[in-house]
Amino acid sequence: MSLEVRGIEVWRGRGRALGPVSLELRPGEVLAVVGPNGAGKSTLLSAVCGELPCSVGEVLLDGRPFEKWPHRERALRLGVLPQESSLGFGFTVLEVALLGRSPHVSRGDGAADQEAALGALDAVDMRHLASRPYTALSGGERQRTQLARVLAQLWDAPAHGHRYLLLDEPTSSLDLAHQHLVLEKATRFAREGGAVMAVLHDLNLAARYADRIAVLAAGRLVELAAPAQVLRADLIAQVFGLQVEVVEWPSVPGPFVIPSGRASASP
Amino acid sequence: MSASDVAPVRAAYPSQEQPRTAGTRPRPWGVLAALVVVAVVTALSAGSVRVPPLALLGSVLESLGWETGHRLEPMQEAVLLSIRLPRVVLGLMVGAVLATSGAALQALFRNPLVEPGLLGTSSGAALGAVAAIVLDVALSSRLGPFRLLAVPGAAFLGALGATLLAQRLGTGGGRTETARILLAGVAVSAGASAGIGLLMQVATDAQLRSITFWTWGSLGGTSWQVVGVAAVPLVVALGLLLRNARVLNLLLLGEREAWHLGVDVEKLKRQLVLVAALGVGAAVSVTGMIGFVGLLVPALLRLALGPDHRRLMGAAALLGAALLVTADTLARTLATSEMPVGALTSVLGVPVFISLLARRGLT
Repeated sequence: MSLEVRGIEVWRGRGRALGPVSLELRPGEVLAVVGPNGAGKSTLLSAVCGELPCSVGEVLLDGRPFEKWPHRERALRLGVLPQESSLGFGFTVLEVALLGRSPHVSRGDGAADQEAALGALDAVDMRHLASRPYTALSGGERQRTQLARVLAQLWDAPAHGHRYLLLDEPTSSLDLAHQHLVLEKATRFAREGGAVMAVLHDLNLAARYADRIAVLAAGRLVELAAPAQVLRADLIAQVFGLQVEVVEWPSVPGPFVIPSGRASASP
Repeated sequence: MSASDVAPVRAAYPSQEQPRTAGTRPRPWGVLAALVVVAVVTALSAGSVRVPPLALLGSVLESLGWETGHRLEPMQEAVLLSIRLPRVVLGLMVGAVLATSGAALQALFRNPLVEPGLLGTSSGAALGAVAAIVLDVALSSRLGPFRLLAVPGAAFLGALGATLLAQRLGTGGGRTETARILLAGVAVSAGASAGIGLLMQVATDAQLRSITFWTWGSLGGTSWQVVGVAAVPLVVALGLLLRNARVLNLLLLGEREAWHLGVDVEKLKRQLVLVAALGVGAAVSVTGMIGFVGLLVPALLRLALGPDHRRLMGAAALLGAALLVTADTLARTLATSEMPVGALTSVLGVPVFISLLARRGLT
């Protein structure tokens, strides 16, 4: 039982935008996806979550291809936080979080839904703003609210199978403390039996919170392993075109990446 | 040290207020129901044959078996039952359908400025009606008793045809793209307008007057026969739109987000466009084009009630019904000759709309 990506490829016109990629997202782990701009990270995420049809290969959610899942059943297992969401209507923060409960039996109207939504808002430090209109929030607050919506969606484990949380740059608009808060919660979600796949740009965040890191370059999976094996100066120089030093810092888990050389425009 | 230890430092916030959700927003039902009742009573009372509201109420109670001493004169009763009542019933249904279709399409396109007219529905209906009016002479002898329904029928077919065409053009690779379908709607509308222009070249003066009046909308001359035929698509469309209220909230998040929350988005989009076309097509085909109800009513209610469609849709049905019946009452009582009701809804709507736009925006 896992989210299994089997040799998928995504073609745009005559060019291959992604693949072939095979990987398995296992319950209990946080998998970070890193890579330079345009490497296909978001494409991979869209293909993995079923938004984008794969030209070749297939994705199995708990052993079943996406098309075979009833829409609501799928939504109880798989939650996706897109890179950006454009919600231009004035729902309150709590109402947005409650929308995440709609795949559930009570459709967002029950006491359990209220509890899940408030719990999710707590987790991302948004509960104190629960009554604010979404349209009045800052970019980071909106991102946290959307994350709370997805967390509320996956708040309780389904009767059978696991929960999968896919995050596309979940920290892109967040301040330092909230970046760590959000990834800490993602880690906790994984420890409670869920699985997390997150596109991240900050290699140090990936090093600290991910169990495995997938490195994408030009649509291909270059490396997929534990942070200590992936974050090597030679690999980073090759993929990102930047000289770095990788050091250990006593009080911080995981390797630490420090840029040391000048960036070249293209690797 | 874990990240939870570095929980962000916040300024002291006011003591835990009750989080605001649908449950704590104002409840509109009493006010809206009262508006509908007032609109209906006024519509039944006012006109060249006056029926005082008290006499109206008394006669209703009387017919239910109460002794009230109020009884309508035969003249009043005839005017009420065969002229005003069908007109009011049609106004209620059409107003409700226009307002709820507007709200649903605005959610579908995530744009508060979308109107049923933008999909080509209204102009398709207009083209059908104008064609029927211009070809009237040739057709009427063969249609016999169905002649009364020739113009509405043609308008309805035009509305459905134009919407289906726009949807067909707006669908690429199995997916309906919202920007693309809007552009397709604009193109279809332009084509229909061109067709109307060409047909008007060959129309007689009498036909031109009928066309002009029709393109501004009117509830005049409504018979029970028309109400009966139009009621089926109108009520079906209204029911389907109200039933989808909850899912519309998810569409506001975005199509991808809605899909991830378990909504079959492609199917929903096709259904909503067709249902709106059914309702608006039926409405336009019996009353002509009545503008602004679909735009103004949802915009007003969103400001008052927030964007939750579980309340917005029902409220839009009630307010749309009250607004159209009121506008129709004004249309037939303000001047000696009847005014086009579409012009009145616009006259009422435009200032309110502009002031909303200037003060608070529409979302």
